[in-house]
Amino acid sequence: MRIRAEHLSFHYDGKYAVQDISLNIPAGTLTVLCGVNGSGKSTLLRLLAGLEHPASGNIIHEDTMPADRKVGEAVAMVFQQPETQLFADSVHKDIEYGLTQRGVPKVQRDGIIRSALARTGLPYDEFAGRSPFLLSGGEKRRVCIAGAIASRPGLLILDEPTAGLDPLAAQSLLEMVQELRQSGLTLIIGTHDLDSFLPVADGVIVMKQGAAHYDGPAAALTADPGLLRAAGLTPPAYASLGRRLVERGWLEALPDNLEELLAGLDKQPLPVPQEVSTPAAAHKEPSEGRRSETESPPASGDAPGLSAATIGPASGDAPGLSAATTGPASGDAPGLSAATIGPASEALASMNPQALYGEPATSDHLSIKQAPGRLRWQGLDPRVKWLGMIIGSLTVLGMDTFLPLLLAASLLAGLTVSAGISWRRVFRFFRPFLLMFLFLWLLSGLSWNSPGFSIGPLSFSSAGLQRGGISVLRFLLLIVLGFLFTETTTGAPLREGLEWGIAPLRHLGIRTRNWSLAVSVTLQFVPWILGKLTQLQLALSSRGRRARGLARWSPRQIALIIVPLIILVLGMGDELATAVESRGYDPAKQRTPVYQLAWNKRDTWVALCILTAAGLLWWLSRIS
Amino acid sequence: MTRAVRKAGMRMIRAHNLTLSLRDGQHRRPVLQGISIHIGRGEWVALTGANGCGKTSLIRTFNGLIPPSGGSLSVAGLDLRSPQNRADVKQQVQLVFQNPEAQTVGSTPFEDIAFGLENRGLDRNLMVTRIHDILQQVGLAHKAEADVASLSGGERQRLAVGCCLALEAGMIIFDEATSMLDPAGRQDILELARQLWRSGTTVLWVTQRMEELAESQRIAVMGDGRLLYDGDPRTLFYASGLPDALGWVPSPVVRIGRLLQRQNWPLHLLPLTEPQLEAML
Repeated sequence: MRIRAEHLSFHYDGKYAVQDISLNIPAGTLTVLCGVNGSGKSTLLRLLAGLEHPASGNIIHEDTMPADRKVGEAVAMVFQQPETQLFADSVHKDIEYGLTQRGVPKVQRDGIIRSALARTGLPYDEFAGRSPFLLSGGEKRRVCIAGAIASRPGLLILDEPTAGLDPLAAQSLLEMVQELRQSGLTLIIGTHDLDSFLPVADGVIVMKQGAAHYDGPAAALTADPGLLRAAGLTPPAYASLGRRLVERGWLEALPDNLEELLAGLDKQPLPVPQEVSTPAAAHKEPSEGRRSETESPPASGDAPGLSAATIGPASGDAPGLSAATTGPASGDAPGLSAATIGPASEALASMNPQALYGEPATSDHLSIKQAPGRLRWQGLDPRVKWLGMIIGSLTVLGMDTFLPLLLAASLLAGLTVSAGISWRRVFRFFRPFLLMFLFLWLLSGLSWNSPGFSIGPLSFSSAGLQRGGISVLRFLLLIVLGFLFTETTTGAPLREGLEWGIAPLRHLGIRTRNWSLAVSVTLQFVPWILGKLTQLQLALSSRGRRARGLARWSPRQIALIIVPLIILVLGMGDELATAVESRGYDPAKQRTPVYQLAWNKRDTWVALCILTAAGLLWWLSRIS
Repeated sequence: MTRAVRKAGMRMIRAHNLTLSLRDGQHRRPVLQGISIHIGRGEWVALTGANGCGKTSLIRTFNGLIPPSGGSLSVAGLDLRSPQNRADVKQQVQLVFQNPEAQTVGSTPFEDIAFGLENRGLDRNLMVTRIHDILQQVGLAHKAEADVASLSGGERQRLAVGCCLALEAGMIIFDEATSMLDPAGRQDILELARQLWRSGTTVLWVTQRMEELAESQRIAVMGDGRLLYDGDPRTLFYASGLPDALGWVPSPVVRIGRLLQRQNWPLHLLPLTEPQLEAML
């Protein structure tokens, strides 16, 4: 399938993530998309996959076999670390899900799944019945790719297909990708692994700050490594070494891959370099690997084993020692990689706070703090906030009419504003809840016996809607209270406040410290879980029917997402427990909290206000 | 100081014929089958091996999270067959894990570093100074009060290293700590680890990346619960035959090196890293 993009732009929060990109990707080619984190790579991939809509510009898919498939099925995408996005309990069912969504008749499915698995190097008889969760990392990734190609897309988009795999699995995945390309599939691959993918690419797009810094054949990038360096990337080893060999006259032409370089070197053997010093000179207890006493500190950016210019004595050399033997040269060669990566990486890392997740769209906005209102709230004693949350929750639970609930809602909205929490953040936090609650509310209004009115085939009773509305609103307000509390309180004060409150329980033999730690860590991970939920939604929607709005939260969708989500949460819990334990946490030992509780006059006032407001609302809910 | 104490102090890890078997349903599955390795204080050792070869178990025995089933193991002079010593060693040998998301206990870098110090019962004022020192050291001073969710993967790993420093760990084990990071983040953490190593910390760098292996002067290779190799990188890559036996994909530099080896270059001149090779050309 040929893909043409014209003047694509996309922005998050007023900042361009992708700016005026035009592309022309011929059918049956493999295009590599590279760029540092935050360069807009992942966004462009999602635009091309049709998972995001460009703010301006358009994408044209020129399908060669349109009769074979329906609109919206022409492109398949596999995300980063797709193994966290497997849903079903067998490989067969996991792939079948996408086919069901696309309306493939049951009789055809087996054959399609069989061939998709075969194309990804997984024999059907061996793998189809197995649980995808118990496969190795490389196998899981193949299952995800099999799921993506099962719908016979014209374009397959892979985001970092080899990241995190061991070298052997990465190598065989690369071979599999080449086979897919040979079978006529058009591929776009976003990757950092230029050494592996540049030699097999038909075209390369280098992204820099949301724009296409380079778009053309891979050979030009080998000839001019500056193109990659300017975008903050390190050229592949065969390119930089090949260039050097050509400059020295040891190689005739720039190699397009490592094989060519090796073949060239084979024809014209390199002279054995002269030894600089006797091997013994630099040795210093190599078996111990200890630093020598007299060693001068290596230049910054110099590495333990990066005994760069040490030609003679490096074997078994203590790390870093070699800097001394090769003075000027070490500033040249090893400094090169350090200079290009070191300072630039810091700037880049701070540019994109969610660099790792490659998901700038979903969660990086959940994190900007320090508005003045926020600081005022953070200054409050956590015990006041705990009091407010508990009293507030009890009051809200006691409300069963609209008037006090609406009053409480406006009070909480006012408090949210005064805490300086941005609306965007509020919206992102509540979006999943709102849709789910709306669904529950409509569900509670459904009635067959005494319908008040009906929309299409559905009948609703207004009494039911009212009852449902009250419970849904009540539940929503409880979440708002929790949100306000965790937004304005960091982990340590939250923990100390709770531990103070439940301290009397210690006499009953309850480990209060464990409990307060567990609560504070759990609360801290609520945004993390919401972020993962969004990722899973996106993954699911890339597998088949593009669910939008309410449909994204249908019970069926939620049931699908719950298994991978639980696996993620359990894995996280296990690792966190290890982290807590290895940091010397011992509930029985004396601990000195860095945060100290201090009750001020202001706290007393706030406590009084909370009690008054709660009392008034309680009274109102009794009389109304 | 008696001779015995000093001798013990020279070694960070002293494992002799170490075995470990873990319960797997009704059976006990052998995970480590007779590992003997010594790691000196202040040494940098790279450890590698395929997934499931027992690397992670070995590491967790080193820092006292799992008791050894047999053989002897002493860490920082403490015999880890004793539960009390295992508890003590946890602080001295710290781990930095693969997943940057799963290691932060606090909600800001400040609180996260504080967590380890609080457990040590340090004086409050001293603690605050220490936290700021550590944040400075790992390059996160400007983000002390930021929400941890806003940190990049590389920054989170730096924070995890900071937590190891808070506990004054004599040894830090990086368990594939860079495998989920992009190249820039990877370089960043590697550089931080080198800095600590230069200031005296013992580093066990667990990795599957050939480039990172080749940059280390001592490499330990594990397979099926056994130590298959423990020595310098040149012998490993050019003379042992082990990489081929294990089906490793050699790095471009090593592939070039093997060609040079066939052209009769002497072993000690064969390149391990790209800068080394470039300098020879």
